[in-house]
Amino acid sequence: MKAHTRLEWNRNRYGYAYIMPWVIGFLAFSLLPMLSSLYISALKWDGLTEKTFVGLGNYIRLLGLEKKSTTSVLFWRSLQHNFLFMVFSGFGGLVLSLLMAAVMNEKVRGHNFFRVLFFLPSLTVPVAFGLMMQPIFAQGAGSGYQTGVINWFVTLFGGKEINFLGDPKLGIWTMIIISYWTVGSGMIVFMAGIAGLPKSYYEAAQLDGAGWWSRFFNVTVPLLTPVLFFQTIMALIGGLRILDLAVSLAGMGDPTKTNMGANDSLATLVYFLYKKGFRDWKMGEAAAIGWFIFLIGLVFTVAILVYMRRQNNDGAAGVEGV
Amino acid sequence: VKKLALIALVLVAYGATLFAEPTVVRYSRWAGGSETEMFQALVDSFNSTVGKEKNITVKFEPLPWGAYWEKLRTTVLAGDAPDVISLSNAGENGSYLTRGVFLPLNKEAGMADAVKDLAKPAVESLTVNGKYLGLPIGLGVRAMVYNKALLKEAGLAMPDPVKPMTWEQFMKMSEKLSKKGADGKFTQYTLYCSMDEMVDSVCNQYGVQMTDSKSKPSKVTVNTKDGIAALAFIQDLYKKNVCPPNTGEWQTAWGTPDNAIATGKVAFMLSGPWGLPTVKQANIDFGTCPVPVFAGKEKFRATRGYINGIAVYKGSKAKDGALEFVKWLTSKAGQLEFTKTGDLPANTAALAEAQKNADKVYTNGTPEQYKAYFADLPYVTTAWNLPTSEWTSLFSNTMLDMYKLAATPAATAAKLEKEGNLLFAEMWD
Repeated sequence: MKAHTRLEWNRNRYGYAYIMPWVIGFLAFSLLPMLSSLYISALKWDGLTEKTFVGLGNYIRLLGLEKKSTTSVLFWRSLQHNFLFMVFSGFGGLVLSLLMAAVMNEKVRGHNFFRVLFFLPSLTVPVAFGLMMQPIFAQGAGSGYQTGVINWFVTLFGGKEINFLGDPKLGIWTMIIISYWTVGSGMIVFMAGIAGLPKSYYEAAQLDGAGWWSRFFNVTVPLLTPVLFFQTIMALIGGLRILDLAVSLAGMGDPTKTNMGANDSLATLVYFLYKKGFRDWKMGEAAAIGWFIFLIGLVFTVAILVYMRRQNNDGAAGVEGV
Repeated sequence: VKKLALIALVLVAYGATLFAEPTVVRYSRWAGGSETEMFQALVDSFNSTVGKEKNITVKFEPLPWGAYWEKLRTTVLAGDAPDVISLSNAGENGSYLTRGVFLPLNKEAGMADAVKDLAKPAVESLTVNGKYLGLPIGLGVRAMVYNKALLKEAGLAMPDPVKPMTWEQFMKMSEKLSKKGADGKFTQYTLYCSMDEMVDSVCNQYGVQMTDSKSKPSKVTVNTKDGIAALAFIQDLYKKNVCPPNTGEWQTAWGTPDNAIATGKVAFMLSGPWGLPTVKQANIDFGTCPVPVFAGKEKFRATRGYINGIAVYKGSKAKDGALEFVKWLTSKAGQLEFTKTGDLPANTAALAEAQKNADKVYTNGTPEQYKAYFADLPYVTTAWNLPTSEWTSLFSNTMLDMYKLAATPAATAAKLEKEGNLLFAEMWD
């Protein structure tokens, strides 16, 4: 037994040596900070003065389980915004980019030009993107001088200006619409996926008289399932982590601007985490928000992976059955 | 040989002191545009006098206002803050004063003398439990700054530079100053200012405090008959188009509260001396006057002001050099140099001299243009000094609905009271 272990060790030692830098990096820069943040989430601490252990107090306060407070109201609003962003920007963006990839794959006239055109916005830094979008969605409040382009059109046809960025009911929808500008990156991934699909399936479907939509739903989508799952997980994680776009749209930077957009209309979980930690000096609550983000991401990812595994197993069983 | 060795040793020691590396003191402050040059000149003045004598070099690290506070937060948390930190209660003083970030100055040599010469209320605003955690260097006062050409065009007389007009008179003037263009849209407004600050001053002018304390509040005290009347006056500024509609963001068409009259489309702004260089650069002929008062409530005269201070970082590696700089900057000589940057000095002797010889001290305006600041100085009320930004957020969000005419003054006062009381209970829990 001992000889066997030694033999295994000798055989694998180079492998262990090769992965060691990553393992050390993971322990030092991921696992340790995570454990440290778990500990901090159980503290009432401002990062500078003494720590008080409060157990699950920060989690209870964020959820508003004992009493409703401004903190719990903002937490739930941020969470709601994140879910909306995940569903409409994440899944919506996914559908849009998949459709665009399918159309681009048809080699329509000028498809190379459109491919570059759709992809270009994805290269813009989100902060710059947010700043760029302000003059488009800005509300000039009837001043007639700095109304954003969209509101300019609205007023041109006799409508009343819309407070896209400052209305708590509209802020998140504005962010979702803005995020569609970057669906080009998803399109490229799907295009690569579609390019790898066997042409014979399409030819067979065409011979059977299947139209474009039929080929899309019955050939492209099922065969792209692994790519779709990967993109879904990435979209979910991206939706949970949204910060830069919200911060740049809210113009936070001035210490007098302590809210997440006018009326906290652009609140998201990571933005709330930043505000709690670095504006309100509540490191415990900030760490607890971080753990909520992690847990939500984990639940969704595991659910998708389990679903994906079941789908694969069902597929395999189906093949065996034939 | 022994003598020669001794002489050589003395020469080496002397040479070492001559060529010793100076103590470098990092001094950080918000500054932008011409302010950066003015503060660099202030630092140069120290370096070429006391600094040269004591082998200290102060290195000025300017940053834009927002970036300054962002960086301060992270450097303090990382234990790498500058040696001398600038403070303003328009910024985040409260966050730091309550968290043991600064060196208490009480027992440091020469500090008791420095404190003696400074304006007492300003010193108190930076004192916690009897410890001087920072010292005031400047008194920022907001007064009305107006565009003379727009008043003249409207056929209005120039306001008195020292005696405040009444709000009733101001509202009457507004009827001629807020103007619409041919398309029905406003092309000119009477006043553009930071309304959150104005709310506090107007409440004070009604004899109402918004909270029971500005450093450790336990309840909101604005939900009274007078408090609601004060809020109704604020809402009237929007209803009657005295001010441009408030969207919660600065609207570049009307500038900012500190340069609005430079746009040529705003008649009055509520700004401090720091706003004057921009107006001067825009070649606007301007005058200043005190903040108006309500008829019959003159005894409650009030305006928003700030105390600019400096503190020594507790973890400073150049503590002695930093203390020397603080001592110089709060002395009469240092304060007269500082006054050139625009603020009113916190040192009482320097303040008296600045008032007497404003023509020699101030470069951004005439003595006449500085009169309103000196006149409003005794009526200054300052911002909240709280450990977190939660109250500012709640206040700002709640008031915004009222500015936009989406909430009544009574509903606003009730909401502030309900949510503010809850917040304060949590804040000190």
